[in-house]
Amino acid sequence: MSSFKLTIITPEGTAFENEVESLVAPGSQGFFGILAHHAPMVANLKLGTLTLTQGGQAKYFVIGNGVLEVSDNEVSILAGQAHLAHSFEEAQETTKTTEEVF
Amino acid sequence: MPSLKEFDVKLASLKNTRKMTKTMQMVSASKLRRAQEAQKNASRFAGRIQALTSKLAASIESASHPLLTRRQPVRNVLIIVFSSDKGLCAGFNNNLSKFVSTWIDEHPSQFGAIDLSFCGRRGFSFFKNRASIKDHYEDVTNKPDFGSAYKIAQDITALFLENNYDEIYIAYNVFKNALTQTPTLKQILPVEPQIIEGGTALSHSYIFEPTAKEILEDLLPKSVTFQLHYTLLENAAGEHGARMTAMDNATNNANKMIDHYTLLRNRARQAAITTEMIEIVSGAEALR
Repeated sequence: MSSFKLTIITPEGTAFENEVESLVAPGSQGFFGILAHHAPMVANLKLGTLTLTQGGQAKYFVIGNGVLEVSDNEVSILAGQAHLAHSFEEAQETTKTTEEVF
Repeated sequence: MPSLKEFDVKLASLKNTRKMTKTMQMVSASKLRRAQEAQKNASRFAGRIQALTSKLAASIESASHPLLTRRQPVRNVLIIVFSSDKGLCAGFNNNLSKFVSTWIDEHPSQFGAIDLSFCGRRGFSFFKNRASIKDHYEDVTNKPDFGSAYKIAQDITALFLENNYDEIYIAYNVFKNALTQTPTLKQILPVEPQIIEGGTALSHSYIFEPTAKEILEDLLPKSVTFQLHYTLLENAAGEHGARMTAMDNATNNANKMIDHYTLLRNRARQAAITTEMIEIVSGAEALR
């Protein structure tokens, strides 16, 4: 499966930077998925769970609201915060207790 | 001449001082490294968000937002002063406080009212009895995090939008290096147009969700928050840099004084021995 580069940047540093195969992000208008070679796009994100697949393995991040940009098969996410979670359920739980900082 | 004992007491206290200043210098050096690291991390975010904002602004017809609108005439002004919580960092806080009070003295007639808000205890205690104070955010400069910047940003954006203030400034020390920090006053609200100008428009094939205008409107308050966060980081780096330099000087001075007093002490010791020998010799002479 072809992959693309994903960078998650927060004011506290770079939370993630690697090749991934897919991601599902919490857009302000609802969740959306991105695969490799997506059309260029800019989207708002709200606080929620970001799911990504890296080498067939799913990873979950709780991200604070921010903005996502797709261009040239590269996705960069600028978010107020990003925390790695071990499972989807844990990410959902953390989302509920996380305070919005952006 | 003071006795040997008095010199020893003095020397012991000087050595204690040296130990303390040396330790503070080393602690500040390591804190400075961490603060600079945090600043470096944040600068990547800064570059990206700035680029995106200007690209978006160039992509839409006209960018208008309450946070961008200049008000004429400007009556009420708020200055947020960033200083450190602790002292012992040479002129770091004092220079800034004096800079701000000079600025206030120079612009009395232009504005109806100049209020001050504070991050950091030192600036607050300087102005406590001299100026009208709006807010004092405690415990934010010691450990700069994004949450406190967000809180301040929300407060000042609300104050600005409710027409309590027509312009809001931040006063802080620009961190050049560990030796130099320059006091600066910068406008933060309304948002300076150069933040959104100078971008090349995104091509038409871009998908926006929601519209480009809405994304931009959402990004502007964020850039205010981020600017405050960055200022907090810069303030922390400056504080540790200034303290490191100040403590280095203090250690050098303590060393100089220790050398000087050791010399005096040895002189006193020798004088005491000489006196004693003369006494013995003349005693023996008298017995003959």
